Amino acid sequence: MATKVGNVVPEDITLLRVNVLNVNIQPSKDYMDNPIEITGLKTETGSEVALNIKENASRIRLFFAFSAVGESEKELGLEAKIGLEYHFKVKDIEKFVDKEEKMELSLAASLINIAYSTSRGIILEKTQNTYFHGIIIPVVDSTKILPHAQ
Amino acid sequence: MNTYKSVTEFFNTETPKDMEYFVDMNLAVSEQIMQYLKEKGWTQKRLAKELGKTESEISKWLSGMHNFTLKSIAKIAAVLDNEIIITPLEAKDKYMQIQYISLGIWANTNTSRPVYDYMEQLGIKFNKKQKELKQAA
Repeated sequence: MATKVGNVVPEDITLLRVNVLNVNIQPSKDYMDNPIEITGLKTETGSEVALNIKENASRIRLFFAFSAVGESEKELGLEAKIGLEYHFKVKDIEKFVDKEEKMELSLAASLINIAYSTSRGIILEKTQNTYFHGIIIPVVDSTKILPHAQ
Repeated sequence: MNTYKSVTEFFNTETPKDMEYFVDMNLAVSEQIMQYLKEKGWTQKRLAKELGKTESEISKWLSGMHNFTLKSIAKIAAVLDNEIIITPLEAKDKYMQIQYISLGIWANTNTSRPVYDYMEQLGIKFNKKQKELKQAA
């Protein structure tokens, strides 16, 4: 029998498709002329959760904005913006949606977890051979990057 | 029917690719029909009645070993009022047409606002409350 995580059965979730919406790596002219070593990254994250109950489908979009910093947290003029989209099938998705069309946190967090972890691999690959030398996004509490958190 | 000289020969003989597809497709069709029966709360007996077949025929059909014809699949699809076979091309088209309702947008507001601007640039619409947070960022 499948193990439940909260009310969610992981086997009932299928990741159907991943779309890279946009990848934009922008080094300033100054940075290109003088590529200082990066010591840290300022990371901002955004998300959008969408739903189609009839199709048992959910779409998660994740947005990342990175800015490279050097010594004393100084921004170096090297930025990256990456948008990714995930399409899921979830068996009996209506069980996780209330009358106000709000998705139960357990499912939303599970989907975000899958999307965020997959993003880690994609972002690492997309930023290899750039001035970032591969960005590894940090491990986060998925409930904090959900629309529910706002 | 193939005959094998030894057990080793049996295990070393590769199943023809078309046979693998045949078994996979038959099982997929049977599983899909079973799923629809479950969703509709129908028994195999009810399906047999709707199709004008005997229960034992339906049981054999759903065993996964029946050689379905497109005609019989179409008949089952008609009584179940649901698609049973969907080609990868159709699946892609169907998936592309899914209309979603946005449940919410989130962006962190602790530092500056590049992620907000980036999301807007990609067409993500913020509601009033979110716009207030954006202004505050």
